[in-house]
Amino acid sequence: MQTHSQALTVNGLSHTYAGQPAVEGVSFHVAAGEIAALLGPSGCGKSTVLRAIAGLLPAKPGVISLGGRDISPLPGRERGIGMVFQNYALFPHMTVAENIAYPLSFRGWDRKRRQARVEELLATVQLGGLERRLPRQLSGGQQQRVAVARALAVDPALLLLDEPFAALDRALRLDLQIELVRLQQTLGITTVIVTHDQEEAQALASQLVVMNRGHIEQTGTPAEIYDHPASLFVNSFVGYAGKIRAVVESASAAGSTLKVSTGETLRLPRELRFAPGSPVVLTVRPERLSIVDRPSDFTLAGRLLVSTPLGPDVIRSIALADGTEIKLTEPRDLRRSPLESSAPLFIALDVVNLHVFPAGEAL
Amino acid sequence: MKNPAFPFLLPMLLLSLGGFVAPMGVLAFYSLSAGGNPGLFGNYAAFLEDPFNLWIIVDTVTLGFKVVVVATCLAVPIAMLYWHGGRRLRQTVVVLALLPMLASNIVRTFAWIVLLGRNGPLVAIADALGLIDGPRSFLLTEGGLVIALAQIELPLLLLPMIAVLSRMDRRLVEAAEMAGAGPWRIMFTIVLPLTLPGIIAGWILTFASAATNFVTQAAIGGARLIYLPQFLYRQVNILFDWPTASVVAFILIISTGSVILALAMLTRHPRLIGNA
Amino acid sequence: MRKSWTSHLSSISYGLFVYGLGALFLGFMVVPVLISLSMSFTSGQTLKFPPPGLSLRWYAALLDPVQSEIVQQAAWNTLQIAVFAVLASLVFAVPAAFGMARISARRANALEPLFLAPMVLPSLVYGLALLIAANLMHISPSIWLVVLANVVVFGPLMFRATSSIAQQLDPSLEDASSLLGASRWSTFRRVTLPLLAPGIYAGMFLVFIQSIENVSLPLFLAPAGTTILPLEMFAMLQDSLDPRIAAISGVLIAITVLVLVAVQRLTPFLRDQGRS
Ligand SMILES: Nc1ncnc2c1ncn2[C@@H]1O[C@H](COP(=O)(O)OP(=O)(O)O)[C@@H](O)[C@H]1O
Ligand SMILES: [Mg+2]
Repeated sequence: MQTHSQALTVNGLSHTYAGQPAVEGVSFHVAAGEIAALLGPSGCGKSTVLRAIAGLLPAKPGVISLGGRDISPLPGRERGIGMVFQNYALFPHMTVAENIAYPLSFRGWDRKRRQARVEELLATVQLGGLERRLPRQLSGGQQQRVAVARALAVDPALLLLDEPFAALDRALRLDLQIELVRLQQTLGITTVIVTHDQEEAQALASQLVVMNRGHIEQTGTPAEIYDHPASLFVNSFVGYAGKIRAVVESASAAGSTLKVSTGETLRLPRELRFAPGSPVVLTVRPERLSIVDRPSDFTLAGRLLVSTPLGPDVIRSIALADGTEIKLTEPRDLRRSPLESSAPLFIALDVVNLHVFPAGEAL
Repeated sequence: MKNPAFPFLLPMLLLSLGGFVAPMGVLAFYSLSAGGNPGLFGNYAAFLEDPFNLWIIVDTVTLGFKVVVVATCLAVPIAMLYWHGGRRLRQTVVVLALLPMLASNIVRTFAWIVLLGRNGPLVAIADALGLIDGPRSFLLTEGGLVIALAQIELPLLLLPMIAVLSRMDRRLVEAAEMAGAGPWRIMFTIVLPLTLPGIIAGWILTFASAATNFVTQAAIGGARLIYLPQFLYRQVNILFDWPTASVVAFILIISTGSVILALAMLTRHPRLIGNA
Repeated sequence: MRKSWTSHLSSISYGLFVYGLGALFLGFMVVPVLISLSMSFTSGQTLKFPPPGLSLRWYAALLDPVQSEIVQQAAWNTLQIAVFAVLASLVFAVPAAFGMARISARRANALEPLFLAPMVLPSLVYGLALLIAANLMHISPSIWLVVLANVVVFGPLMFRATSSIAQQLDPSLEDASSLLGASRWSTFRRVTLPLLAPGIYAGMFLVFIQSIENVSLPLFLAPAGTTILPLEMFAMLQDSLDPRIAAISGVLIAITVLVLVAVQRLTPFLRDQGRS
């Protein structure tokens, strides 16, 4: 199977449901052959964007182009896009083979050719021999793969998947995610996947489009988004981030000082773009914190609340002096004597990598 | 009986056994034993020997089928209108489908007597279009009866269809659209097949009701078009031939019942289970 | 990129089918009843459509004791039959619905078809069965026989309406009530009955309306000298086409609507459902 993979561009897409704006001014680009993930909390408009790309909703205003051609005026069925729906939308009255052959039957393919194509697709998704089953006789994972096969049947230039793993057990999810990535890489098909699960998005996609409340917060590779979040929302939605309130005392090229809500003072060796007196929120990733014995310019005093082992790591919940709770992870060290609960300690912040956002932003 | 619920069930149980099962048993016994025909099924044999009677059975079942076909042709566009409608349109369709139910069968039949009669609007329209020459009446014709019954029983078919459609997953239709299917194809390959459990339920109700609707059959079909219910009525109230009437009663149950059972079997098809 | 002309054509024809035929047939479903209703306001001597003018003369004729003595008597008899049928259905069906929810699912599944069977059978057949059974016991047709038939045939409507609610009742509500010190009787009266009320009211509505409308049961079971409204209307349909039948239809529809509204008012539950 060879695919004529094409680049997708969405430009200025908005949609309102009966006067209620659901998405506004959404623009992003997916290079040919790439997997992009639309990521965001439930109800933020991901499905709406996907359905507009598919042609199931009008993209007015907005332009959607595939391989450089504007496909906005075309109805969904003439766009040549394959789509896997949330809960798969397999036709319950058709067998697996009939489901997969459904899109082929409109293209004037004869029976033989259809049958051969169905077999080929079933082999691709590793479901050979299940042709005559009805969808309700399949497991969730099998149903998902039938839906993928049906979406791929006519060699689409673009594959859209709406929460394809949401209905599956955690254990099964990982296997199917790997399988999907492998399939996508063999076919080289441009793919957009919708998910509210940031781990899933990072695992699958080479590009993330993070959405919140109907607009895009940030686009970029998973690493860019994790390490350089553009907003407090992205920072806390993608991966865990502890939040500490502070007020800027001084900010200059030589360095900045912050008055933390605990009363302590922190020094950052960089310039902040905040006027002195601005309230801000510092965010810290748990793996970038460490426990130290002695206070310094970039430590805060704290008290251990609880430690939870998680695989090779241990997660520690720590209360700062004013009660603010943050989490910290460190490798589990069996030789060191375990920390006592309520033990006073100092947390060293990675002052180079911590992020500072204006406090006005919703948490 | 130890079960504390038993006293609550007892009155209804006695009513069922004494008021329903017993009279039906009497009727069955009567149909076999009364009258002068020899043999256990002598009454039935005598009835079925007469080709005139056989035709009445055939006509009754055929009438039911014809009404089902016409009602289906009427119901499908309305159901699709409901399917495509927004909240307001859907509510309107449901209210309008329930509205005729506020009028009794007699009232609805009366409406059709006005519509089909010599002075009625249908004759005027047909005459104006040149479909008929000169004023006449559509009463006492099978066509008129079928149309009237189809309209009278239509809610029985439409409401189960709407019940299924209201629960149907729109994504199935969107999936068909993405697969490249046009609106007609989506209707015939996705929407209607998935509505089939409701359609069959509606067919059963429509068939049963149309084939046994004594009032409409008698008032519109008159004395010229005879179906089993009217035949039964005549045996009782005009000819006082109760033995034959009891035979007709069971033939009515068996002939319509076997069609209903056959339709009910259809819903057991593996492809229909689970959707709806 | 092109949008093919065949695709345009098919969406136009489909749109005509759904919105054109759909709306037309939806109208077809309701218009006959509206026409028959409009006939009740005719000022003419006959049921010619459209009516030559509007008047209330036929409603007035219904009230005139000289012209409509028989119709009034028939209405009074029918009202009595319906009220007794509703009361008797309450006595039989409500406890049964309550008890049904308290026996094992296996037994309930065995009993339910027995309780619902009379509803499924053509009522003409049951009327004949009861006529023959009564005759064997030397009971001649009477109003009470009609009431019994109505209870047997339409009581199941009450049973089904109440039972569907009783099945969903949370048994722990009753346990809670008895743990709080209520006796069995006061638990039934103050907890169970109010919860069942929507089903009971719906059942009363259905039994009442059916008892007023049904022709087949009084056809065989009413005594010769007693007039019953549906029989009276049926006779008018068949021969005279007296415009009073339009007025009676109007009154019956009005009664149905009033009772329906009353049922909805009585039932806070149903009212809330309607609002949401
Ligand atoms: N058919 C619809 N009618 C009205 N509002 C809708 C419809 N579909 C979605 N919405 C609303 O639009 C917003 C975005 O929905 P959706 O795109 O489904 O979000 P997501 O897929 O990210 O969970 C939500 O607030 C949702 O309630
Ligand atoms: Mg969604």
